[in-house]
Amino acid sequence: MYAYDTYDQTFVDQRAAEFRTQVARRLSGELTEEQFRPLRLLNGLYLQLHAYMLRVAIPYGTLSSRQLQALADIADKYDRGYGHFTTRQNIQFNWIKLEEAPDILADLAVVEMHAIQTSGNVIRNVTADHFAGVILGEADDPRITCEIIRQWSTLHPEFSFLPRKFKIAVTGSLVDRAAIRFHDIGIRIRKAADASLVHDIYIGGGMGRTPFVAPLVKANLSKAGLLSYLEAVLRVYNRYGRRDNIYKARIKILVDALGVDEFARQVEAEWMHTKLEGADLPEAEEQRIRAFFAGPAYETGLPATPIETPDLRETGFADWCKTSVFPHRVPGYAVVTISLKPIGGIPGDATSQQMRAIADLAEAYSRHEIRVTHEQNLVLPYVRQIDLPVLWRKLACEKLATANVGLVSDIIACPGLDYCSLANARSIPIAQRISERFAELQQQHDIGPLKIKISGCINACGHHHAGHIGILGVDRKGEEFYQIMLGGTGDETAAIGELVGPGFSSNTVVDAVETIVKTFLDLRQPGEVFLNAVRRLGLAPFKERLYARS
Amino acid sequence: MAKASSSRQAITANRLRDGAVVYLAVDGNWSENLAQAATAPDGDALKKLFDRAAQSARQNLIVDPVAIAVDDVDQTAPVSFREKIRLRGPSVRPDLARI
Repeated sequence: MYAYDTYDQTFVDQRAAEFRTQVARRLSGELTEEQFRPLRLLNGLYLQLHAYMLRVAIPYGTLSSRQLQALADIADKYDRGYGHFTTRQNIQFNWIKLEEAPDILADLAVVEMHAIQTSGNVIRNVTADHFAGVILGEADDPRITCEIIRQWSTLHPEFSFLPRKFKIAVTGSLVDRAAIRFHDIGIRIRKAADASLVHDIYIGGGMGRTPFVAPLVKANLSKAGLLSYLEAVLRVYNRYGRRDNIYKARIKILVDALGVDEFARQVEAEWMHTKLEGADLPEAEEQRIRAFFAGPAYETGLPATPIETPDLRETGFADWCKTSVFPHRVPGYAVVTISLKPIGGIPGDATSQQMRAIADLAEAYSRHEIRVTHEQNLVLPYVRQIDLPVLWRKLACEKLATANVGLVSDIIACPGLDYCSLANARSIPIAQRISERFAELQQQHDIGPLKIKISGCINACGHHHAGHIGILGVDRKGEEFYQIMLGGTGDETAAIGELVGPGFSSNTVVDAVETIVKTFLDLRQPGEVFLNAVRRLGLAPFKERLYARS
Repeated sequence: MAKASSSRQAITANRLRDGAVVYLAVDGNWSENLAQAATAPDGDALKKLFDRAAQSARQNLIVDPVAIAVDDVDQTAPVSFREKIRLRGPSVRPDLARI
């Protein structure tokens, strides 16, 4: 993991101290709310429906046990004993008092954490494949690139007041677990024919009101030219992005308006300047950062599979292995995804007790490291196969061994109208009811891979456009209604879901989802997964069943 | 289900120090209890309430004051779903409910 040097630590400490003075000035009345709001947002502090909400950055979703322990302490000391892991691999606390926020930032700084650039029109937390560095077939650990971008973009003076927020994701795999093509910039690291590392740069993707799948704008960008190229992209966006209209201010609108070729041409022209300005990272510095991600010293000669005892065979261990355990690039090891989606639970929420338990388990079984996925689950990246049974038992004790990762009840849901001041409808209760409807595990396994994603408003924090089944909550004359989209996906075959038809009431939307799933089960070909069936069949058979009665 | 009818409004805001949901009370203070809120029909009386709220904002007691419709029959009940959730707390965490 990356570790702060004196410069990083001083910067974060100073930032926390600065915020303490800003809060004091606000509480004394020296600053008005209009003056203070942008300052608190620069430190991730929002005012939501019930209280202030603090969004804490988890760079590229990587946490140490010590950091997760600190987050648990914050949940207990300053919040109400829980936190919410988000689709940007961050964590949010929902019940923060303004007068205590400076103390929280100070506590975070002690464990090399902060809330900088988790809000505002800046480059937000750079996200990565949550299996970075441990999965087979990866060209490079994307977190190295993420960390370089994080250091380059933090308080970048030229990009601190962009037309709109800016999101970057990086993967080093052909399998896309980071939804890169739904980002302002998506980066895929590849090995070129000569084995050198190159980047394919996708620009202008996004969800929200106007969803786009990012087109490829620059292929085969050399590692050495990455930052100067990104600087050129941001400079073109900063100059021509629509500051006059918040709904048209994202880079996706600019790329669409100019066309990919013209946008690429303008970036290339700007790149001629940025290359000469020394934006690129010296090789020695790249190597210094790379060294932090070398990974642990692995044991050799470990058994390749866990030893199954009779009690394991009878108690669901195999089901859990099927969904939660993934192959590791090192023989004898496994990557374990911990579901934060218990049946009927709140997607992405973890209690302080669960956070402490996971921190302890990571310490004992995963080299002190945890990952946060954009699908609101957690990952232990370095588990020995022989430790899987005991890990599973301990996770089960904390209600953290639900064997549903990637299945119908592993639902992304934004906080929705239960917490968020922007939301039009609730997301969480819909997710809870769907997971209860499909609670029976064998049924979930029969249905197979199926990603349901729910947003409570058009801003799409719940990624509904990229859901195999996407659900968007809307307000219709004071009532919650839900539109359903089919066929979206954030993977390497990225696609935007298509609206099936008129929306459903809160009372009928779960029935509608069940009808869609039953239609799939009736019409699927042997071995066919939901997304492929939708692509083969189109919307017609689903519409027919959904709206037959009307 | 019959829609609630509303001819009166209350003023709500978030308390500056902790962000808590508060309502402008009859006594001019800010209360977490909507039952204590002053209500008024649209017009001069409501404007007076809003002026008082604006003064509280200038005194750094509250932020973002807005008028909300309350039920004519049960004036302790907001009309909009969003305000019902603000009043009671997240619907998915009854253990954290305010009322």
